Amino acid sequence: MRALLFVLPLAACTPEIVSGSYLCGPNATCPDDQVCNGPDNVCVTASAQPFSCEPELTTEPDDTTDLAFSLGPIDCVSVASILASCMDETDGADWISFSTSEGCVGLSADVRITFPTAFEELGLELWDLDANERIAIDAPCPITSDSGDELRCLKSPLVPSTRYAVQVLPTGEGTCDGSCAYNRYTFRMQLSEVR
Amino acid sequence: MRVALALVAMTAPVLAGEPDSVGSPPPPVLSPPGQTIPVPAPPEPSPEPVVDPAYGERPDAHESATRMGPNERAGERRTRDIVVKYHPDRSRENLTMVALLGAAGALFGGVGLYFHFDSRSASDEVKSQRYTGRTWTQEREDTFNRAHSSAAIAAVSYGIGGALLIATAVAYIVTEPPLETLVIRPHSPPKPVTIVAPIPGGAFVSRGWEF
Repeated sequence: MRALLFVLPLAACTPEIVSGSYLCGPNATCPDDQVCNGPDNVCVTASAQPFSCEPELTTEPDDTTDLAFSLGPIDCVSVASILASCMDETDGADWISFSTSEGCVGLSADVRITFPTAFEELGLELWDLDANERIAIDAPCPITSDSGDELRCLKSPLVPSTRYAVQVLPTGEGTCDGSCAYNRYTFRMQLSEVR
Repeated sequence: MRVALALVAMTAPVLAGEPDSVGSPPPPVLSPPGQTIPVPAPPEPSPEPVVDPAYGERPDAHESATRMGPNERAGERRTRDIVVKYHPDRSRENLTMVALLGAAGALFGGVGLYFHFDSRSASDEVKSQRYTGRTWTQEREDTFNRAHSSAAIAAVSYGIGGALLIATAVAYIVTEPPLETLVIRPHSPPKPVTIVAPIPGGAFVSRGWEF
């Protein structure tokens, strides 16, 4: 009994983390005896469900510029265009196209994607479809988050009356050595004029 | 002259070496025919010792004081041996060993306490009973591992420290110096001394007794 009383205080020093306390870390890492739950990337102790892209989130097929998901013409100053999508193991890239309006001065695009830290990392590229050239890539965002999501930001000046496309693609990092090469993301884009 | 002869007659048994005894009848007095020499009355036996109410009994009634020693025989008034029982002081080496054992036990206990608090601190940083909305980062993973390792070190240190403290207590008890007995034999009482000194017209005789 006395030995038990001696062990109990030390047992209290072992951190107790209940199921669902933390969001999955990079490469789907979780505390001991917990695994990453696919649908919501939360660390759970048992019965973890596999990752799957919800049918309503997919914009497939969109793996080429010709098949890009179109946002249509966007005004010089626009509200944010928000798109929730998903990229499974077989998906190499997602294209999202748009065109700029006439008469815009100092046009600039602010593009962001957020995705869970648990699964593969994603990147952004901005392409001029008319010139068929890449004009910008993502950079670290000025803000950080501890909410279990990663942010990628891209800012670039735009030319009026031009067709553009944003490519969302995996970077090859955080894939759990190939076992979690998938992710869901939220795409957000807004055009503005800098005078 | 007659007085001197009387004194000599009184000391004759002593000079012969016989033990003195209280209450014995006086020796026969040799007197010239027709004359009587007054004989001193025999001394009265000493009364029983008075019991001192402060002690309740004779002060020397303790066992060690009243136990008969080799100089004593029943019924005879002789000196008494003094018996003293005591534990000798511990040696310097013994005290040093016990002190080092105790200090080592306290040291390991202190180390265990330090790692115990470190483990508790790390545990408090990452433990959770509800959804936190935070990501399980590598930093939190390292803190979690530190809590486990510090708890293990604390347990081992507590165990070693406890064992050393028990060893200290056992060593202190086991190495206690054994009880020793010291017997003090007081010096034997001096034999009665008789001095005979001639003086003009006779002799001067004196004798000493121990009471």
